[in-house]
Amino acid sequence: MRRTLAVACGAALALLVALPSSALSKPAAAGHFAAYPTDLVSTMAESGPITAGSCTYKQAIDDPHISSTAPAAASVHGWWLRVSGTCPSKANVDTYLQGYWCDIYGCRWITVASGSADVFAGGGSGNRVTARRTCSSTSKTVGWRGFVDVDLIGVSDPSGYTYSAIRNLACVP
Amino acid sequence: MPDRVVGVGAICGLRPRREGDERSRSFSVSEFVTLEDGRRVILHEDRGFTIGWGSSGGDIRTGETPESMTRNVLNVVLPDDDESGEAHPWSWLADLARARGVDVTADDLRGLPYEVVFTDELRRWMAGD
Repeated sequence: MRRTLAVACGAALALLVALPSSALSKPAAAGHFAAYPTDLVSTMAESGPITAGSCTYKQAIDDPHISSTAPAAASVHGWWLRVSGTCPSKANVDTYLQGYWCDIYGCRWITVASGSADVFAGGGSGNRVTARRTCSSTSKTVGWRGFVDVDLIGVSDPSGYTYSAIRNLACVP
Repeated sequence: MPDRVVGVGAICGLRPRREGDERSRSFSVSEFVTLEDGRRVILHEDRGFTIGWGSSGGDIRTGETPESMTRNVLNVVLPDDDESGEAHPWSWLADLARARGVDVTADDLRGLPYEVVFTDELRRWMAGD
């Protein structure tokens, strides 16, 4: 019974930390942020085609990187791109930043920062949404990735994530 | 004075498709300075971006032109701090150049033309080859 409970708690914890969250939190279980093994094939969970009225659009995200200005931080930026059809002038862009975390339950991605804003299509200064996490240390390499979700304002469109490339950076969340 | 900088820019290339991922595509972005003798000095090669379908799916190339790809590249190389009001992090780029033995200042770079260059592979991809 105790063993069953422990397994159930572990599964619940794994589910909890996998959910996008704007609040930075390390899981309760002892563990550490770690480099992402470069020999692993990254499988991306992506949604199927999404219809959003007559608007056809794409979403974009840059690679996680160390910010070019102090303090040292890892960041990603998300934006959206109008392709064709009648689209609203703005869309809500949610951008998430994740670190690779390992503990007794295994290794997984956990969200360490996020950002959300209504922005015009095309990106550019002021029309990107940033998720940024200051490095607590730069002495260790950690795996990072980001993902973006765009929701057209005033149009019903199911969520669908686009994931960035995975980068190992000398930055501990 | 062969090391005089006469230009600055970015190179965008196509990354290999991620296995099992038909709905997005990733691109690499590096930045460089061009010297008077035509040589390019790479400043960094650690940026990139990914485009994915957020609406009706299809060929990810749909709507992508040299102009749209240029806008994406310029998004990637913007300063992290949008409030700076600058199109590029000139001080950081100048620091990278000096670390590679190229004597240039942020003010020097600010006054130079910025070009976006596509690899041949990316040009073929945009053309549908």
